[in-house]
Amino acid sequence: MRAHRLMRAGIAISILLVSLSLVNVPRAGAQAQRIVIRFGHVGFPDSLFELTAQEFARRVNRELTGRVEVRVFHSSQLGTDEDMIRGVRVGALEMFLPSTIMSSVDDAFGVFEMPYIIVNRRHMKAVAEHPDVKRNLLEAQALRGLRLLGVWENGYRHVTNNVRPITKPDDLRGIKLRIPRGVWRQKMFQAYGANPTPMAFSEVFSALQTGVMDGQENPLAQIWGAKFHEVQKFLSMTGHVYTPAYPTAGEAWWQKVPPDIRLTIKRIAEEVGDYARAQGERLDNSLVAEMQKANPKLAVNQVDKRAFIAASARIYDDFAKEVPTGAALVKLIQSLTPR
Amino acid sequence: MDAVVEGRESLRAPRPSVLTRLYAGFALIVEIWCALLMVAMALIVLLGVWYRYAVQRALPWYDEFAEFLLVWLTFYGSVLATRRGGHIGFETLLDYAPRGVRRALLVVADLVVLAIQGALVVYGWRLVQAASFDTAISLRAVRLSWVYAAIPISGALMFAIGLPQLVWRAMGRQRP
Repeated sequence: MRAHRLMRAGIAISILLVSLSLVNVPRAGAQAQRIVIRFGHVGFPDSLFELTAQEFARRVNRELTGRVEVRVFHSSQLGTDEDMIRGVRVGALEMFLPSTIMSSVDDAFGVFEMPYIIVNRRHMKAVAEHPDVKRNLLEAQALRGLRLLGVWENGYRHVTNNVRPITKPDDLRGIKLRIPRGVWRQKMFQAYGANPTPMAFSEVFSALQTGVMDGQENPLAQIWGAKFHEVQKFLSMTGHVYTPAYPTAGEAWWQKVPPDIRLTIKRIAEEVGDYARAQGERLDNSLVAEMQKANPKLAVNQVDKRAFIAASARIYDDFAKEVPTGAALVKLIQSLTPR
Repeated sequence: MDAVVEGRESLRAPRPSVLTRLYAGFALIVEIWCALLMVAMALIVLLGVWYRYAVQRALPWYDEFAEFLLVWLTFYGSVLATRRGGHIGFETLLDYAPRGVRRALLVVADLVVLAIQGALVVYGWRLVQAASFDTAISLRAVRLSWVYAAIPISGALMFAIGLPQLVWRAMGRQRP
């Protein structure tokens, strides 16, 4: 009898505990009036991503006080880019900031992987605002569950390594170079003669430190945020690729947002693009000196860009061959080059 | 011979039931599958190292696919762990509880776990659908929904293992 009573008490306590743990769920839904936007990105606290996302949050929260609240989560807290692509589709978060990864969603984004296609930031702005690019590239992703709201910046990529200063493609020969996953970056550095290896961003620092990799390539703001300059001897200003970043919402969630709020968010996302490019320019101008201050042994050199452009011709051919809209897209972007 | 005298049980172990043997066979298949995944992962990583250092032309796909295999190994391995009761548990309290309470608590725990396994199936399936647009980055022929399918499949397998365990436990038997 005693055991029975104890058993009943045990069951009662367990049920109580389980139901207590569920109490949080309805409370979150009660404030349906205010829309909370969880905004994830992979940049570290010092990165351009964080700077830009915070600026976006500040402007949205000011203009839509009480109606919308943007919360930024840096350092991949809500997952890697690959996780977040699926996350915004199922509603695990509302917005994120993909860059290179978009070329795995739609081949056409590979156009921004083409070396030296974006001449400067004014050029990028002209491309981002062109109606064909907006319609066929950005807005077309709604079919795949992603709503691209604007074009921000990841930045101009440069090569760092521990073997020798890189001034022409041939200097890359035999260098074990870490690259992010992606077909075009791989093809490009193989064409230059390097030995490019994909590796997760979080592993790069120790790989460079222990000599598993000789070098890597990233925008200065990412190199600075991840402190690669502390374990590298040479920084070569190749500027081989300009990677945009795209503030992106889940399409299913976006369609549920009231139209006037959608308009405001979209406008702010586009305006912050200018802020991102201005901050990117500022960081490019200041970070090399900062890095040399942090590591006096870091040697910085300029490169023969013409030699790199000449070595890149094959990639453009491959891109035009493999991606149906590729050739037209390349032509359009090149036609927007500012004089 | 096998006749059971009142108050005494046969010393010979009872013949396992069809269901028990079915589950044993099924566990063996999952075990072999996990071993294959493990071996494949080791081979791919070694191949990646070989190509990077010896051939000097790194494979573009090795790290992505090693990662996929690790994910699969985790999910199918947890099916095996469910079968063997090898998942992490906090048992100190149970050891002190009287038998009736212990049984009740175990049944409640099983119910919670079963609910989570059900959630793995439902939400895993939604993730599979969300991934249906995407392909692996290094090999575009590989659909990511195949990779994500491990979540609902392993959830369903664990559910299939957990359900009879729960029934047996609720009926007061120790092991299936």
